[in-house]
Amino acid sequence: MSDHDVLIIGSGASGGMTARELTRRGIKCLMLDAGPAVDFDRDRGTKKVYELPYRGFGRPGRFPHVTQASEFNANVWADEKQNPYTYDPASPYYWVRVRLIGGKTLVWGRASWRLSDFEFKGKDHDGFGDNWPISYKDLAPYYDRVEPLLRVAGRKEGFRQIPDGVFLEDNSTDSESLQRFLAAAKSKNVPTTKPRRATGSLASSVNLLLPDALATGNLQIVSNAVVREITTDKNTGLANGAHFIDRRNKREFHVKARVVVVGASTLESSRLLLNSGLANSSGVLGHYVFDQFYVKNVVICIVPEARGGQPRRGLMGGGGYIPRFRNLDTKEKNFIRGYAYDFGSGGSPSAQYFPLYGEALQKELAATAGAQFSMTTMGEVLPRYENCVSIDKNVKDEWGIPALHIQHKYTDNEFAMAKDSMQTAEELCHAAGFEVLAKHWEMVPPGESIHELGSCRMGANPKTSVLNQYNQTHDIKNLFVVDGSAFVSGGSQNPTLTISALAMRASEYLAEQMRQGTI
Amino acid sequence: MKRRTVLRSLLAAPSIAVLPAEALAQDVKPSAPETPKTATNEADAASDPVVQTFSPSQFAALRKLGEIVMPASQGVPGALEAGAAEFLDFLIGVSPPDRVTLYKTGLDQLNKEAHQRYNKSFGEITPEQADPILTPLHAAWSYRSPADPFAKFLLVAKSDLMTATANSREYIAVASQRRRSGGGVGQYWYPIE
Repeated sequence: MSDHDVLIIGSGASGGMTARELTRRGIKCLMLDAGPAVDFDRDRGTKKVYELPYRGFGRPGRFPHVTQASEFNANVWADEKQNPYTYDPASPYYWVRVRLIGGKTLVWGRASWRLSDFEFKGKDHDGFGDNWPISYKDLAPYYDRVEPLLRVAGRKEGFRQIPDGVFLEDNSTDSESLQRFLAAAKSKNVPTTKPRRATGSLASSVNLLLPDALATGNLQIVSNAVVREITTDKNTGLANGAHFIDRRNKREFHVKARVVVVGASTLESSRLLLNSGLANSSGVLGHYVFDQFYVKNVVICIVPEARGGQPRRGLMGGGGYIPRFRNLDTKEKNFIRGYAYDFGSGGSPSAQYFPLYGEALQKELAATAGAQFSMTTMGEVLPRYENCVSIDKNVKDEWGIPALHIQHKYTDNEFAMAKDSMQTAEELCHAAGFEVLAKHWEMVPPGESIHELGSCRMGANPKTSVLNQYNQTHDIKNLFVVDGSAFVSGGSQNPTLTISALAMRASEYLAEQMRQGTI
Repeated sequence: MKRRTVLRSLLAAPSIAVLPAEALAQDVKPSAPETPKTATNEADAASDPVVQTFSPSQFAALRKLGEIVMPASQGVPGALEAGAAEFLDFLIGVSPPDRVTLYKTGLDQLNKEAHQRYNKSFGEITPEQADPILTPLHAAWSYRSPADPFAKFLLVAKSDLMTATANSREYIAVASQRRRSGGGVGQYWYPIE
């Protein structure tokens, strides 16, 4: 009854993709996820903000580390008291989690940029860190297949740092304010493009990946299954299943499988391996944690012609992206690697930016309504051994499973990049003729971008990495980790597209190995 | 049909105010049994909140601060009409201790400054008299909170009073008509499962 070909732990981008690829090749899979399934008709509805118990403020203290949580969506995020973690108070880490079938693909921002050999072969470029064991050409065919699955729209540009893909072509016109900004960027040799995003009313594992897998008849999904430990055969040392606990009543189960694939999300997957005492002969499991730093609203501007409260039609609206442009062909003075920007035209500046109150503030808010132009920086964080996760034996979650201790700091390279990004953004906006209302270069705390990566990195050398190039652990051949934990470096590109492509590639390899009988 | 089955189906019907005499004698099949939805109101739409967190002088200062920071304008309700201070008395009361301290200390400071300058409580002075006390609200924006607790309190209270006003039933009823906007409606996620 509980003997399966492949056990998949996690149902988000990587778990969903693995299930889709394996089941369509006839492989029987069991998927465990710690959360329940969402019933969109039952679980969502419209409410007025004054009908909420806390008038839109949210229950104080409920989510000290989830700045994305509002009183409207609070029930989507994993409860922080049930799912504790620790850090040095001097170096806070904001770990944002979703424990539902579909994982964070239920709420992701959908930005879908390919990595390039500026990331895969970063060490060759500037000498820092390690190269990935794969190059862009190894992953390109999988990007080609994932983009149509996610229905990614974008514009082909020929940029080396964000290679073109298989897009729904975005031929939309730009508003006048955007055109001015694009021209200003071009005059300063700063590249720009349209957003590249997964489209559709829902772009999640639950509607794009899992239905295909379920339709094969080869997938069973067990919800509310909190996995405690991966188990191994005493004689062979191979993975043979997992212990899990029913989230609701804490009843314990064990499931057997020929292969175990972990896609529980970055950090959760490493936590599970660390708690299981597996795949760490290298000693680097849990190390080389990184993410992408964000400087939210690095500049807030007013488009002068839009003042008055009712910008004319065609002046405002739309957005775009500036891919990394630093350290491609030249070398910056005080940092390596680079950063990207999102920018957007439209919306109204927050009252906090005006040193006013009362009638004067109301008049200014009315005058600038709809006249905002804003930019946000997303920068590469260098993977460092000392940024790491470990098990905190003194703290356990609601189900008695030891929690993570997270140690992550930004360093001079990130600070220098953040400062440069503010100065450059200001220059671009001035060149476009915008009024800069506010600027800063303060990064949000590590983790808040929800782009946590690494901790279970891949590599050619089993002494310095946990996984091989197919996301297979060096130590245990039938144990795979397919989520963002596998990243060696991350650039400034949003990672979900690459996570999905890597999971597809790993699944194809696994299926072939199973067919050949080597696993 | 058994008698209890008939009664059960009648009770499940949306209206049971009138029972035709023949209904009890015949085989009744409601065409679409429904569970009635009972209309209810939020408490603050039909009653007055009890101030519990702040002292009378602190609360009076908060009401005055709301009146100054977010006044009614051109028919749109301000903080007073929206009951923003009453709501914040509740919200701050259930907040972490550092926020409670920030507010209580800040409100006491408002009263202290007003007494020193005008020999009145903050709640008794005019907006013009309050302006020199509210100088920190004229400082240029900075990402980091000011080190001075009073300045920090004023910035936090300004934001909270404006949000509590803009998210109120009273404000939205008027503002949504004028802007033809969604009127504070959002997609709400119920507790899942």
